[in-house]
Amino acid sequence: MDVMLLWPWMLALVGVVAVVLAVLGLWLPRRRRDRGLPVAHVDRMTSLAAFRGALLRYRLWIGGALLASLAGALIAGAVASRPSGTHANQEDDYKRDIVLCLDVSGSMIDVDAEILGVYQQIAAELDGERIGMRIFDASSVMSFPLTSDYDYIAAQLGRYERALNGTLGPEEQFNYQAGTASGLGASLVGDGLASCVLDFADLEQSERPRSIILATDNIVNGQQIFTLPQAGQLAVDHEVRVYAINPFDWGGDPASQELRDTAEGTGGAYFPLDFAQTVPQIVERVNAIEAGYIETPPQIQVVDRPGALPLVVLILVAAACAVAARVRL
Amino acid sequence: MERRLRKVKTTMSIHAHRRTLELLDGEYASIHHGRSHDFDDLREYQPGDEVKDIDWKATARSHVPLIKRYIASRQHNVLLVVDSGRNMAATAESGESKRELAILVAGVLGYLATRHGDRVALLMGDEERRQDMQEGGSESHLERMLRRIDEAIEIDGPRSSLVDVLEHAVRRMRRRSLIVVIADDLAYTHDLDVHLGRLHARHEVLWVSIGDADLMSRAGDHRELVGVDTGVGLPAFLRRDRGLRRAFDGAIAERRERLETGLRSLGIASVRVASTATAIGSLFRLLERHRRARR
Repeated sequence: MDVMLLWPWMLALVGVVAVVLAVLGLWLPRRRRDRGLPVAHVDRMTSLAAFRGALLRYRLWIGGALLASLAGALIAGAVASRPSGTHANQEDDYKRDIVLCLDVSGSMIDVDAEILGVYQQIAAELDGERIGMRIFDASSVMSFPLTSDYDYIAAQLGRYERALNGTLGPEEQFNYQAGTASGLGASLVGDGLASCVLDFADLEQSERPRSIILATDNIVNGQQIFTLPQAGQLAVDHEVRVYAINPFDWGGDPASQELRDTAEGTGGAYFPLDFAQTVPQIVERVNAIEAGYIETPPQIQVVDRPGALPLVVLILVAAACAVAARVRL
Repeated sequence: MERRLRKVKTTMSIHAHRRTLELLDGEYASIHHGRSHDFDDLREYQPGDEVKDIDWKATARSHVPLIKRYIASRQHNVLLVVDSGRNMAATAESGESKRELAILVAGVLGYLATRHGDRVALLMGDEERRQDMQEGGSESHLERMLRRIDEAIEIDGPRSSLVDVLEHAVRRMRRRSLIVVIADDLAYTHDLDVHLGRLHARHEVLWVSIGDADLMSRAGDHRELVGVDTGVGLPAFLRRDRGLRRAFDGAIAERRERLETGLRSLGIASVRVASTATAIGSLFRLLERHRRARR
């Protein structure tokens, strides 16, 4: 922790004041000498051997009080010159928004469940970030909107994960596919991505980094309103980065290539799910890439850091006062 | 204008009963020997009177013992030797000024002497000054004397040096006198012994110590002290030191003992006057000791 003095001149000022006080303190007793009770034959006491010891004790006490006062003045000066450090503050506003955009056509279910599992774990550690989720097939359905209620997120993710795995308990049965089949066809990826892009709230005002985790194989079957490149353009317009995860990349097939181009065109990335990469690894990499965007310059604040110095001053002054009372200065 | 003498008289009558004063009077009368045989009158016997002065025939005719009074054969000389240095301006054991006590002692003895028709002279001095006043027998003379003492003793006056004054007295005082030395708790030195011895060889010497203030703090006295001779301060911290107090008490007792022993071995009666309240009694004891020492 770097500590610097904000007002170093204060140290000099306190030093000058201390010197002035010390000079006054040396002057005043000389004046006060006249106020003592006049007595004769002081040698009755001063010639005693015990007097020397008592005088030495007296001088030691006074020396101790002086030392404590001096140290107290020095440290008080140090406190007065405001030792301070810098404090970096990360604004919550720069936390990102994430929309999970999952293709729930039959071929994608296993991958979706895995993504949900990973994000459940991540959600437990998030702070200030918002997560939303939309699923699509022929039509898209918002599972839950962007929210930072992590308990809710985890509950929803868990519910969908179990639904996708077919392990829903008897009490929570629901049809996750409800509403995803009202369009013509299946896996209308362009429409799905476009809906996900529009899920972000306050597209104009919000400065928060936006990203979409898009899980799809891009095997479109039917007529879509937005083609995938059009949806990608929409994402670019709204500064949304798309991270695509494709479990069925056969290496250079047109569908995969289109998905890759679209994702990379938005500033995001494309991950084929193969033996080299598991879903957790991919999510980790997405987070690493996103971290580059959310790294905003932290707000630097200069904060007073007197530490224990005021306490030390207090103790020293108390000690000096105690000694002064002891020897009745 | 006899302000100081009146104060002395007032103090005497406040702090002593009439009987005590008469006793004091009687003591003073009997410290002188060598009286005439011119009979004056008879008076009632007071303790302290010489038994041989009792007029047995007159006593037999009366109910009470009667004393023959004689007209004093000659006037005695009383010399008051006073330390006028700044030590005398310091605080006495009772907290009063030592100067006040010295004036009281000088006043009481001077007054007694004046009443007996004796003549009182003054010699005072310190390191730098010598002041003396010729003998005189009037109360106004005594008042002037007390005023001189009062004015001479100052806190920023010269230092005390009683030995010099005594040496001066040895050299200058030819006429046989009763010398009353008004000093304080000083240390008994060889010089003092020599000069007192020479003085005592020619004169009768009485010694009065004005008790000096206690340097240790007792009974919650937390004032700082200043030694008048050197200006050195004694902080209250030192005054409260227990070990120092024990050593001080021992040293003080020894110092007084040494002074008393020294004076006694010279045959000089001495007394220590600690306060106004006890001054008359102390002086009575002084005169009695002196009378006893001679017989």
